[in-house]
Amino acid sequence: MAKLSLDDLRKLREAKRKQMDQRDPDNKTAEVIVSMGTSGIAAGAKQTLAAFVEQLQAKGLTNVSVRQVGGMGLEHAEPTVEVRTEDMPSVIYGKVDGETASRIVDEHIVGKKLVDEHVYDRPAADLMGDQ
Amino acid sequence: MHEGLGEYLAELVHNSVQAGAAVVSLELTERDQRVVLTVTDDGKGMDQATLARALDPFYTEAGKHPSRRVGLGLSFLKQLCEATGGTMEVDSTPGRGTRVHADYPAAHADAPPVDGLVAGLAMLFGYEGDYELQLRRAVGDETYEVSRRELAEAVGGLHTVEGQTLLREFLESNEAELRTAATR
Repeated sequence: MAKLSLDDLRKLREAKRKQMDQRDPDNKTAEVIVSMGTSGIAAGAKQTLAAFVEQLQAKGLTNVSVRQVGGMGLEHAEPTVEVRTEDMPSVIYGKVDGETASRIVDEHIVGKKLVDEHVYDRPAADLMGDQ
Repeated sequence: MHEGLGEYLAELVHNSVQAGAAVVSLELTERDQRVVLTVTDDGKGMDQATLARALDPFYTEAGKHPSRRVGLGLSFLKQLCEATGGTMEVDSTPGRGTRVHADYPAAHADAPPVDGLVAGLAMLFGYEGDYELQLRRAVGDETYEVSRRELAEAVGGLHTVEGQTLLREFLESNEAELRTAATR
């Protein structure tokens, strides 16, 4: 790959946008929030984040935003990910490796079905404090 | 200890973001078989007592985990420098910011691999918040520099799938060019 400049990025962005608009006319919005605190990073959140980006890009789901936050209070279940979509309740998934990330994209974001065995309860508010 | 260098950097930058820094600067250089990194921020800084706690991975305040606000990034980096025979300095002033500097031998068995650095560097730009991150990267005498704001503008936002993909392509190509040029 040739070294990319910022101008190259702008051109690539424009080209990809045109391509994606053709592939995904509905372009439903969704949000994937990956926990990237110490325990998340130690448990492999870097690979989880990369897997979401790759899967979403491969499927043309360009209106999904991918965000990084600190811990969600579920350190025992890292890497943890919260998924918010327009027509389903917000869900926290735990122990999300690359393969599970792929399932969440296919089954939850596209198929509108929960990946049951990775669903975790949201921690109580008093445990989370102001996090 | 973390798996790769990118994870250490992510912890340090995340600390700066959580400290309310508006501008974070990261210099990462591989030269003469050594890795040298410096993270500077204009966040809230730490007094000596807080800094001592930040360097101690086993510190807790009365067992209340949520009260730990200083993260494990510094203590992990300290551990890395001690294990590899490297050096580490932290200068911090309350209300002014923090500077972390580390220098260790790249080939030491306990040094984290730089493989996978692109994904690690991509993490640095993606945390929530309106912070500027200035990255200066060097291998030997070859360098590139980029800032979070100019990247965000060029890719149309760093929290979109498209933006994240383009960010990784940018870093991948620049990292590859650095390594190729450094071996010429």
